[in-house]
Amino acid sequence: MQALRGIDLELYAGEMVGLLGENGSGKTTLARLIVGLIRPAKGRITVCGLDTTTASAYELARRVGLVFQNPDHQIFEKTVWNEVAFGPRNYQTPQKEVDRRIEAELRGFDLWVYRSRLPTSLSGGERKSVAFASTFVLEPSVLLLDEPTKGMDYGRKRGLEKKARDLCDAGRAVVFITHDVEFAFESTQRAIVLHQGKILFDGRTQEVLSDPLIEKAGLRLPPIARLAALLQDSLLPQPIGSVEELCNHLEMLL
Amino acid sequence: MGALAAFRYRERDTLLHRLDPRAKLLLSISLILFLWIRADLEVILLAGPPLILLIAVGRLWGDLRGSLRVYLILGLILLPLNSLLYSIYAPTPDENSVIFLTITQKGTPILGELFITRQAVEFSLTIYLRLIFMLLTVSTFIITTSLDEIQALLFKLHFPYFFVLTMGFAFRFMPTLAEEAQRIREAQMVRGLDPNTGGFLRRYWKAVVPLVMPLLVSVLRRSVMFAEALEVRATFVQPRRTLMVKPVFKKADVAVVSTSLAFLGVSFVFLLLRPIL
Ligand SMILES: Nc1ncnc2c1ncn2[C@@H]1O[C@H](COP(=O)(O)OP(=O)(O)O)[C@@H](O)[C@H]1O
Ligand SMILES: [Mg+2]
Repeated sequence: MQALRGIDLELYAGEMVGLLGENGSGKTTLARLIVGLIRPAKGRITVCGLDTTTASAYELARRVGLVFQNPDHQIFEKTVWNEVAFGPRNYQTPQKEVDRRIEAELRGFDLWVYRSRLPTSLSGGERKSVAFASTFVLEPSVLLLDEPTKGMDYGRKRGLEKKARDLCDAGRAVVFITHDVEFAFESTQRAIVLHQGKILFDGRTQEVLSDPLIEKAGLRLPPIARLAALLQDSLLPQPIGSVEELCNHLEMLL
Repeated sequence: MGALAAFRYRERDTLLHRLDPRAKLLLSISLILFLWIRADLEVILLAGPPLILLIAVGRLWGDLRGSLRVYLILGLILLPLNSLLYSIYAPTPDENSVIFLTITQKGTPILGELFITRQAVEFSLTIYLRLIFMLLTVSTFIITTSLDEIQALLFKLHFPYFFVLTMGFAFRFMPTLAEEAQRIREAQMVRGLDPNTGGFLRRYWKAVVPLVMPLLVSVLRRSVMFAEALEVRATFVQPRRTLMVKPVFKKADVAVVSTSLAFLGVSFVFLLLRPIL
């Protein structure tokens, strides 16, 4: 069985990307390929110059991190602190440095008060945050976040977005794997749409997610784009990037 | 890993699969008793044809192949070793012995000789075949009997309800455990734990040790959750429950039971003739 076919894709430093597609379109499979958990039957994947089929997990994990779709599949330690410390410990990072980075991540994700709690006793969104912190702490160049906004409240979503933007500004690439079109629309610059294991679109988010054709891939246009599309014929230039932009146009017209 | 297929249920529609689990159990037990009662090569070999017949009827070759390879390797190690060890019981080589090592000093043997007697070879072959045949018998039962049928069987044999259900759950969760281990392994690999570097021992250490505690924790958590799920569905409230599979005796079952009883009878006669265990 083929889950993915003819994928030709490059990710650049400093990019914030949305990888979108309906359930079963191959998003998770693509992420697992990129981090080297599974191997491509054909083709090649390189991460920062390392071929994923030959590189060791040790070398790869420092360069590319994956936050699993389900945090319960990722969390295995007894305390939140240990969970976040697992990665750095594999790299024999000095204790002081480990402690500093863990504290920074825990505070960044509002988890500091939970540091000695059992991770499984936390709420869904908090467990998700533990998974983020334990991946971010390794400071990989490429970060793949599988369904990162599922189960997150608005505050945590915005917090995650800010964190991701900081990382991108620092020259890392962040990929949001999601079917949360609204979130991708507001937060990413580039959007890749997968459909039945193939890339259907790859381009600027505002253009891709304003294209009614993405409904073919099982995605719903975000409300602003829908509104803009409906008004477009008579009134508006395309595309519209945000609610504010739409308001400006409407104000000018009225 | 292919060897494990010989001890796992495989859904298939054959006469053997359709037999009543009670009849199958009796058949297996009678075969095992037959094998156990006499350690004579001729008697053990008698169990060969029925076993081959069972394997053919159940179309089990594919499932057994992996395990047969393991048995073969086992034989290559066990047969020479056992033959040598049993030969120790014979003080001196006789005309049927193969002498393969004599240490001599100026033509006279010293330190005795290393030899293998014909009886020892025969005896180890017998013991080996008996073991393999028993394992094959167990395999034919396990491959062709589903968990539901085994549970129904145990209920019919008046095993306690609690025991039967618990055993069933234990079996059902075995694949889950393997999946869980795989997941933890992956979670550790994407954060830099690499089980594939270092020497053999170091690799083993890295592959197993970080897995033990998390797996234990997750199993405990899962069982608590499962217990709650059972409780909200009132699982152990009534002493009995509806069986998913109701075993019914058919004509084939009657035939199998009669054959099994015949086998048991023959075993009993053999036991009377010359009891050797
Ligand atoms: N290792 C694999 N090899 C081949 N197919 C797979 C593999 N893992 C998952 N699949 C299949 O690929 C399809 C895409 O799955 P997935 O990547 O999880 O989709 P998504 O994350 O977009 O919902 C599914 O039909 C799944 O059954
Ligand atoms: Mg997925």
